[in-house]
Amino acid sequence: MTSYVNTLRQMATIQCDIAENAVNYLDKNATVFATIDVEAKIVVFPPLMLIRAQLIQLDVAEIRLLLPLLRELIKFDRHAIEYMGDPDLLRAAALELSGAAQDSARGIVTALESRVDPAYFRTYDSWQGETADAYRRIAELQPENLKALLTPINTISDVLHSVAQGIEDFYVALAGAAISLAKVVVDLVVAIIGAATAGTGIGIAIAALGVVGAVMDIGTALIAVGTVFLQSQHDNEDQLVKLGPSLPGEWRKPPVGDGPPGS
Amino acid sequence: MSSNYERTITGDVDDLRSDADEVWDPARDRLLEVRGKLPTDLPASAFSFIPGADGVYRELALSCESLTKYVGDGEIAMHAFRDAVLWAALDIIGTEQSVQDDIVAIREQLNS
Repeated sequence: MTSYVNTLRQMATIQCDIAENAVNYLDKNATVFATIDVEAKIVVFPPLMLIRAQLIQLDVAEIRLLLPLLRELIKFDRHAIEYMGDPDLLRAAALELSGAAQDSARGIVTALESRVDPAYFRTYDSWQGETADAYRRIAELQPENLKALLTPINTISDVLHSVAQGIEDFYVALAGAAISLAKVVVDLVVAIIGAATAGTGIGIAIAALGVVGAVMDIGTALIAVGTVFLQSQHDNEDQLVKLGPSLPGEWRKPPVGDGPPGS
Repeated sequence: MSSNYERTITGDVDDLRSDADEVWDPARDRLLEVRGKLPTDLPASAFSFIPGADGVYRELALSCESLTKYVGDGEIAMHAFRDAVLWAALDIIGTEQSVQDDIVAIREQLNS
């Protein structure tokens, strides 16, 4: 896979690692929280999709209660990272359809439209008889059968492009979410270390609020991009479902003789 | 093959063979190209496992399957048109008592 989705995936993975290391650090150094004597309270309202809905009121000393929430979010990100997909492969297939396949189909239509036209079809003048008439009647139907190919080819190509774009949009949002997550968790660590040395917990409260806000933003962003992707794929699915009935039932074939008598 | 041609047809053998070579054979070849470009071998993983992508993959596979069959039937139809004009050419040669070499040449064209 060569798509930049792979780069985004790696980026998101690294950011998740950074966030997870920071959370682990906070967990291991939980006793530091108890030594900081600061009056600061924050309210956490976790996004519904990420964790059970509840209000948590925290003292700065209890800030480690945020850690399960962060772990859930990191776990969710890591799970989403594994969705993958291959936009480059989908786009290559789409280009084959909209390029070479479409050209071939149009080429036949153009060629046949001119050749079955009485003005151009060479055998119109020279080949006479009932069989020739029957042959020509059926031959004149062929351009329409061929034209029927053009819409499905275009639709499939458009759908492939759309899925590729949807996957990339999803990963852009996911990588952005992972970066935000890593940043706020690291900020929290920095604030706690600063508070432990400077004796003030204001920085922690601000950083903790940053974490809470970011968690909500990330959850909202991921829900939004997931919803857009889902709706887009439903639309794509509908377009494909409608293709089946758009194709003519069958190609009529001409009568075929068996050569000269006695051959 | 059934003998459903009237034996009184007239026509230019070269014109008929030309239509076989210049119209119906290329049409069949181009349909073959179209069939070769249909994305019938894309893996499900290419569509990702993001919820919603699986339905698109399923419908795309069905669409490609019916399109592949439709194009394949078209190739058979183009081949039938080509055979029709070549058999007509044979009929005309037969009624004109033409040389055996022409018949052999057209039969070779039919078998190509």
